[in-house]
Amino acid sequence: MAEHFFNAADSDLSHAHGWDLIFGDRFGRGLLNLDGEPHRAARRALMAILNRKATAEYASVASEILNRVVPALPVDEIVDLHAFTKMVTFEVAAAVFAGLSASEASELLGLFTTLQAPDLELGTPGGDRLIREIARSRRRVRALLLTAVDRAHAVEDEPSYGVAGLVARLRALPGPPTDEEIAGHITILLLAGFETTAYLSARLLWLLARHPTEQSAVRRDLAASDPGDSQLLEAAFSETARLHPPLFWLPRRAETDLVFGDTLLPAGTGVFYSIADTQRDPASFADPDEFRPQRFASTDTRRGRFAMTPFSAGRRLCAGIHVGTMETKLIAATVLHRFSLHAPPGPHIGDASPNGTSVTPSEPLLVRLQEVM
Amino acid sequence: MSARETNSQAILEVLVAAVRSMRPELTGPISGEEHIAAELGLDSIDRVELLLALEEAFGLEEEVDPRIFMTPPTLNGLVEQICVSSVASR
Repeated sequence: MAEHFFNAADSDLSHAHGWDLIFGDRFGRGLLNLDGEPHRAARRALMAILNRKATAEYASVASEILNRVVPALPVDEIVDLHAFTKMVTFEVAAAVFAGLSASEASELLGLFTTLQAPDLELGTPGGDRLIREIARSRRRVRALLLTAVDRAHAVEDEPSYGVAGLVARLRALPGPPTDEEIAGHITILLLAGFETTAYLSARLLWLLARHPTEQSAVRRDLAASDPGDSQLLEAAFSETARLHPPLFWLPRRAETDLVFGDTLLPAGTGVFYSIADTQRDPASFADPDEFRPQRFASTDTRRGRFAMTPFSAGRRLCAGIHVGTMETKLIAATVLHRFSLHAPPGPHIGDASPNGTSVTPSEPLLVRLQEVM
Repeated sequence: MSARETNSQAILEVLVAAVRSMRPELTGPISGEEHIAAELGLDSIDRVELLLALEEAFGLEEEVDPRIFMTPPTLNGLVEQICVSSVASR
């Protein structure tokens, strides 16, 4: 079943129409919500700015931002982790993929927040007001990102990475996209890049705050190794992505009548793959609801190929997997280096998914920070 | 030319100007008969941007019903809907 889902052609299970069910036209088109040849061409072009080599370049941009914002976190006061990571990850994504300043990023994040507001029915005062706000926000997003495209175009050096590389590589395609379409690609990269990374890094820090033994072990390991090389951070990262994948369900739409196992899916059906439930299958993971990073510390890999798919799988594997992993680990490492985290006691905080795919914590993930002695 | 025809022409001009600013690559003539999605490449939020352009051009403050922007297949069809609804709301 999973293999069928992940290996299906776009013409059978459409990504574009699946994501249309989630955010419609609000963010325009990019890698995430294109299908077929336009997707393949854009993916080939953009992997050069999303691969491991490019990611290493972005680590210094992310470090610079983190070294400014992490020391400014308040000590001995309650901090909302997800609010913090949203701001940081958006600033990093906007710097890397659009070349925007912190203040431009802050304006853009406000516009994205409007674009993510849940639908209200048209013909009601609230719905009519919201749709105008959405259109105004998207118009402003386009203007900001067209400026970013113009600035990138003015870069004299051979552009390799970041926004300059992105613009140059898309413009080099046969039948190149218009500047408005390039701005659309950047919009989707920002959306896909910041939302998932913000959620995952907040969850990772919160889970470590709730598990002081694991937190201390990761901190010790980080004292001896870089964030990208720490085995214990890697294990905690994987366990967080297992328990709290940033997309709970992957959206697709059946484009033809399909048969999945014994189930007939008529053309037009929305088809959702549950990453979250699959990753808590007791057949693959003992005590699946427990946070137990050590399960990833052993070399035991008898799990099935699709038991863990926090970044999806197959042909449409998350294009930003390297950037997202680097950034999540760097955020965790920078915070853990300076602070110890303490979470107030209480039941585990679950998740909500207003749009049916991406998730936010159902209550704020609050921690108290103390400086590491 | 009747007042209504003058009005329709003015509305179409505003809409065409808005389309050109959203899709600068459309450099040829726009008659109003092109399909809004298939030929002009506008999506549902672009349609609401047309509404904003119209309200801004005529100094209207959230007076037009967004629903009438959602379905007409062409700009001319949209102009007709706008005229019908503004007559009806008088």
